[in-house]
Amino acid sequence: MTDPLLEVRDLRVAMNSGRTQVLRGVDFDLAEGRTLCLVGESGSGKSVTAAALMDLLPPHARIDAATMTLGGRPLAGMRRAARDMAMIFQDPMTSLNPVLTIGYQLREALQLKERVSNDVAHARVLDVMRQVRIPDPATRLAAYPHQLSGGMRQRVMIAMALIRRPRLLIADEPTTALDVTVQAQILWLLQELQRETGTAILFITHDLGVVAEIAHDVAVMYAGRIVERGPVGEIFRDPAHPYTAGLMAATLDHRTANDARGERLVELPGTVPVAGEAIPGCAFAPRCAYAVAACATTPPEWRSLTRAHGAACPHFRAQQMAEGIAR
Amino acid sequence: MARFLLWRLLSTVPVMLTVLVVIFLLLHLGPGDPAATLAGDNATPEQIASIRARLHLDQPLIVQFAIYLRQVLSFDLGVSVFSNRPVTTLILQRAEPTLMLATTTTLLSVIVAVPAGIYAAKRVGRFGDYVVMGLSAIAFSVPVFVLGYLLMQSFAISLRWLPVQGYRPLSAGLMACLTSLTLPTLALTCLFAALVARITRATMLDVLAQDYIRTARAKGAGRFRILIVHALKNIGVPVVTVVGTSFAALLGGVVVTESVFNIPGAGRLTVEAILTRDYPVVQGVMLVFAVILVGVNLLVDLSYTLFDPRIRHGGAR
Repeated sequence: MTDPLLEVRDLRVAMNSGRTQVLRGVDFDLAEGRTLCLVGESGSGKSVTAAALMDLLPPHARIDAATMTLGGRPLAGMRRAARDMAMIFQDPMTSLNPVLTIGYQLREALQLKERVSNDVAHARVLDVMRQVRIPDPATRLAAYPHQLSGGMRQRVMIAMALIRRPRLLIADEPTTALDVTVQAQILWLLQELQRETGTAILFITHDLGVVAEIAHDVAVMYAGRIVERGPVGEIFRDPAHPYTAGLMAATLDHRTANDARGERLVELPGTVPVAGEAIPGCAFAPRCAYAVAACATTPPEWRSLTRAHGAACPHFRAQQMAEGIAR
Repeated sequence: MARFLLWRLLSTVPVMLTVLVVIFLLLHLGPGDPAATLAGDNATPEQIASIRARLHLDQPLIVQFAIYLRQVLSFDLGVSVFSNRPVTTLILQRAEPTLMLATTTTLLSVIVAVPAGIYAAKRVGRFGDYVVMGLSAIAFSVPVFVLGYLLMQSFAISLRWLPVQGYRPLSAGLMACLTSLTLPTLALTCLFAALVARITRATMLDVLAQDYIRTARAKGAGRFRILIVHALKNIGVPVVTVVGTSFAALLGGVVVTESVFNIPGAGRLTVEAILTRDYPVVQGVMLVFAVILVGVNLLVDLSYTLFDPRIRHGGAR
């Protein structure tokens, strides 16, 4: 296997000039043409991770990482325009400037990155609008955001990202604010575009349904750390962290509420720890049914199940196996 | 766009009608006989009777209003009881200084305050922000007459750079006119610019926190580009609103400045008319101010279309 496109090791972010720790050491890789879904509850650090990669954190944030490279080049200190990445945001209704035309905003995205003439830019804008299936692109150029529907605006946002031909596309809950039918169209479009361009996608979501649709790999975040990581199939089939299991149970229960098995699984008790709190042991321990005394005091060890799949919990699997034997 | 324009123009009609009714009734709302009120304290019964006949006060109210409307529409605002001159002439004579002062003040304020407000927003929570906000707090708190006399003392009396008081009309030359307006403009600008700077800063901070600014940052747009291309047009609507309404308020609110600098403007005309109970003049001035206020508001609303395409296309805000 070739080197991954994006490499992140021990990424730490602290807000308020270093006083509030929100990312406590995040590690992951992302290869060309792959989609990694960052999953977790609100406040788990998914969006902060994306913002750190894009250099969009507020000035009072302190970023610190052992490695943070894209295509082998360190991202720290790199100008935003020079980064081979682009981002799609959650709310297409508010993420486009209401007083500038679609055409202008698209052209600007290109021209801030590459020195191209207005004619070339114009042609590229039309190309990329066609690529994201915006009907009648020539007319839409002069349109303002309020004249487009939510789905169309998200297509514009995607076009704005694609026009820079990024090697990495970060999508921060791009479908959360959209209708379910439009959601499916946008997900399908992203997959199509990935096939066409080979871009890597870092997809942030809390919706496991969306994960099942789009992910190749999944990283589950909890309280500023990745607690489980692996290929989507393995994670769904065989979660190795009690938090992942709980998250899936909450969603699955939802979907199979009338399932014949009647396997009703409760929602996750408790809440995510407050950002900045010092956590000596496992952050999930207070909510965990499998926790032992040591969990609260010692940081959990990373356990690999397969080459790609692992989790920060040494107890869950062992206990599950024990239960299995007991049954 | 055309629909917006038409709708906005039509909407001024009921407003103006209401204003006319109120101004018309002003004379009749006071206690006693309007003719006696108009004639003043020492009038003979014959004088009162002649006024009553001349102003059709013996007619039913609705007929009087119709007559009043017809007069107003032909720019006849009656005759001053005090000086016996047509109210229209009086107002026209006094309007120039006030309009000039309001215009210079508004222009200077916008030139100073909008960049200052933007700068403060850009440096929010830092030294530059505190300087701008501190200065605006001071400028806003110093009464115009205190500042006026201070300016007069230093620039006119000690340094002798500028005239102490008085107004040179435009007909005496633009430079002469502007020179005579410099000190009053400075005094008024302090107050006005403080307000505009604060609104600009607050609006800019609001705009800079919007999602589309984050999008622009993600694209790699520089700070200057974000301010000028992405934010400036978005602060247009609130800032123009404040500037427009303040301009209108200035027209009626420059009385103190006009007194301090001895400028024969519309503000002083109003005060004099009220003090001498010169009802036709008071009514005339009120009407003219109302027309200007409605006109400025109309212009402000129409200017929105320059800034915001959502209004231009008549869509929801």
